[in-house]
Amino acid sequence: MLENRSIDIKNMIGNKDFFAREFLIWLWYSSELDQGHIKLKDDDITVFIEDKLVLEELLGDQEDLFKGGVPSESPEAKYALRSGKIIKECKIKIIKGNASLSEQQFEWIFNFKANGFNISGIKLPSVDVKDYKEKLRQRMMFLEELYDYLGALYKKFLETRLVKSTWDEELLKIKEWIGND
Amino acid sequence: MGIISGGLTFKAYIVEGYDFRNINYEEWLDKLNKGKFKAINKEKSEKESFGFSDSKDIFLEELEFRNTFYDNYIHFNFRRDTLKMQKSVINHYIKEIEKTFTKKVTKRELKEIKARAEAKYIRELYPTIASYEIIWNVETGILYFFTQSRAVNDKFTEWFERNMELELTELETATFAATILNDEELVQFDKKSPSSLVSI
Repeated sequence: MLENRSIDIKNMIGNKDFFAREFLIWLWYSSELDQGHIKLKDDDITVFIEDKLVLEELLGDQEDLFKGGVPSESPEAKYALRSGKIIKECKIKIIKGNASLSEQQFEWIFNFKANGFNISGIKLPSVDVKDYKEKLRQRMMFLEELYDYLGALYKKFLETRLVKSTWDEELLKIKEWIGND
Repeated sequence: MGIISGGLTFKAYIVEGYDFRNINYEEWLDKLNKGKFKAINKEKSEKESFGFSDSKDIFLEELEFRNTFYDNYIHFNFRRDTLKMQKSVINHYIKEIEKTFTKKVTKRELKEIKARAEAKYIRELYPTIASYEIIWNVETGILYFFTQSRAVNDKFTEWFERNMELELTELETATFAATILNDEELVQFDKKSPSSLVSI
């Protein structure tokens, strides 16, 4: 994955967290476009910013913590974004399966810190198996599926982000969304 | 919490330096056992010891094949024992010694008294045992180490790399991008600066 690449990836480690910060704003914006539905290459998923959202100043130490309810829908949270704060951390829910189409739903909830693209406190879909090895296999399958979704979301963001014309266009839309409410 | 129950918190790593299609599992078990946990040697005044231990029973002498290898997964523990001296015990001992001094105890003398106190009490102590799960998908090359403690992660990565003769790289913003972007996209990724969304 990192070996035999034409570019030295090790030099980038720890220096690219601004992408994670932009990714979180983009994800919040994208999740509000169509009631959380996001079309990926191989799947359709639903993404929500859950009941924890921490925004911080770019320069300075002040933080705004929104907890409980749906903080991403609160005008105060959007105001914090509008005043130039960025997302430091948030709780995210990803749902696979469409209940309205009678599909079985699977749900992942986790904490995401922009610094280091760090995820923690992951709640996986429940596994109702007693056998130890089978339980381990199924939980690993769910964990790896979460990484597949995160990878697909990050790729969707980067595909837009890395091309100047598409990013300029997206940036305008995001700024318009931030400016609304 | 580990993989089998509860919420999951870990650091993920990319493991490199092997070919998935060509793994000698017996050889890897030997390497894991070469780096197995060994108890603290109090005679050598050790205050800490760490190493690999079995996924199901951290007190087993050696890692067992059947508990370590499942399908594409390698599952084991990193056990770390520490001897922690309670400050109140040490302070009590220091005060008792200080009483025998006729003049003020110098910094150097205090250091010596502290060392004597530690040497005296360390033999009486039982270690604090901690173990952290590791699950490694050898096909995807991603290893999950179930703690985010920086100090423990540093000890584990150094120990793993030395014993397994493989390289670990933390999965973070740039390395995660490297797993999903081609070389051309990665060049663009490296060239970009923060946009006006996250910069002034």
